[in-house]
Amino acid sequence: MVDVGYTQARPATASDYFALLKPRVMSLVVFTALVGYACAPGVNDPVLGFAAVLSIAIAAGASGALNMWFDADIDQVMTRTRTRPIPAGRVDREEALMLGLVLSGLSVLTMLLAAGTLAAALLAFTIFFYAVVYTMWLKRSTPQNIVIGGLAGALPPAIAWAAKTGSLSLDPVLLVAIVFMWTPPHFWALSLLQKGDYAAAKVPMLPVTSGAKTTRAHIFAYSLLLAPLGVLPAFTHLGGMIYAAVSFASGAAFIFLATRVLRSHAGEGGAADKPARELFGFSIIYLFALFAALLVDHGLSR
Amino acid sequence: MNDEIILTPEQVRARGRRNLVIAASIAAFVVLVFFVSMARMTANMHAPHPVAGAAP
Repeated sequence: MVDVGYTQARPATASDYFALLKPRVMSLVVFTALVGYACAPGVNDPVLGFAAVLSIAIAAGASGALNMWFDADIDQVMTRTRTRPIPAGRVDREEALMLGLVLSGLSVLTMLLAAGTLAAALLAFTIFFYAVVYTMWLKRSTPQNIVIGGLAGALPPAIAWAAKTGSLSLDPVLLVAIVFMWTPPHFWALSLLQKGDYAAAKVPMLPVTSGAKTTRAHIFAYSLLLAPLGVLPAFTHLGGMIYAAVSFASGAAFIFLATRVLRSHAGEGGAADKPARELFGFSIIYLFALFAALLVDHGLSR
Repeated sequence: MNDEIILTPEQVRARGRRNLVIAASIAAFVVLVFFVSMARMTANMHAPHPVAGAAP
């Protein structure tokens, strides 16, 4: 007779499995996908649109579960991730793997049914890119991990666009480029704050491999590229006047905060980290603001 | 030797709750597939159809 009562901190609940899906990351993905769908030309079909965005959300969750399955050793070491369901002992690794694989299959299948082959193929590619290319390969091997891996998080608006139109054009590529360029300064600001954690887990994040000063310079350089890129949709008629104003003002604020990071000693601990913390917080508001402005402009132009 | 696993009452309750969530998820998936199929068929009914036997 085997008493398994001692093997778990407490029995796993549905919310533990939900936590495997990284709901906070999912919320950003859902929002950008929703905007991508709404801004694409054509008639909004509420049922097919809902199914497409839901498929993207579930696929993002599946990628998160696969990431937690593979990275359980890293998550165990880092303070930020130590309480996740696997390192906390509430969910087995194999369960996370199975959940990730099943949800991956179901999300791609649903997308195929609702939106056709292009969107489904892009969705499958995104899961593969995040789970295999980023998680299994890049994350542990290069400080450019989040730069290249950021493509997976950037693709959802283009997938949603493809789901509605069956094709791609310059506008969805611009949306992808904005999220892609936003990812490095966003994550490097966070990694400056958690440099010690990444070093302990032997993850080659830029502050660990090249130091805080180089990371601050990289954050500044990417911010200089991001801000003008963020304004571009105002010139392709994807965004209108509101988007132009929001993207210009928030882009300027982004560069201002990145300049403060550049001039600071952020990443060296204590009060010196404040500019990086501020930039990290603002970067989330920045992306939400850009996509929300697109949505408002699009709503007003109808 | 008996390898039967004995669950604590708390674990049995947790398993019951997990099963309910799984059942609800499967039911929601079935409903989603139904509505998506309906939406696709409706869209195709309104799409222009090529006339059988006509030149392309």
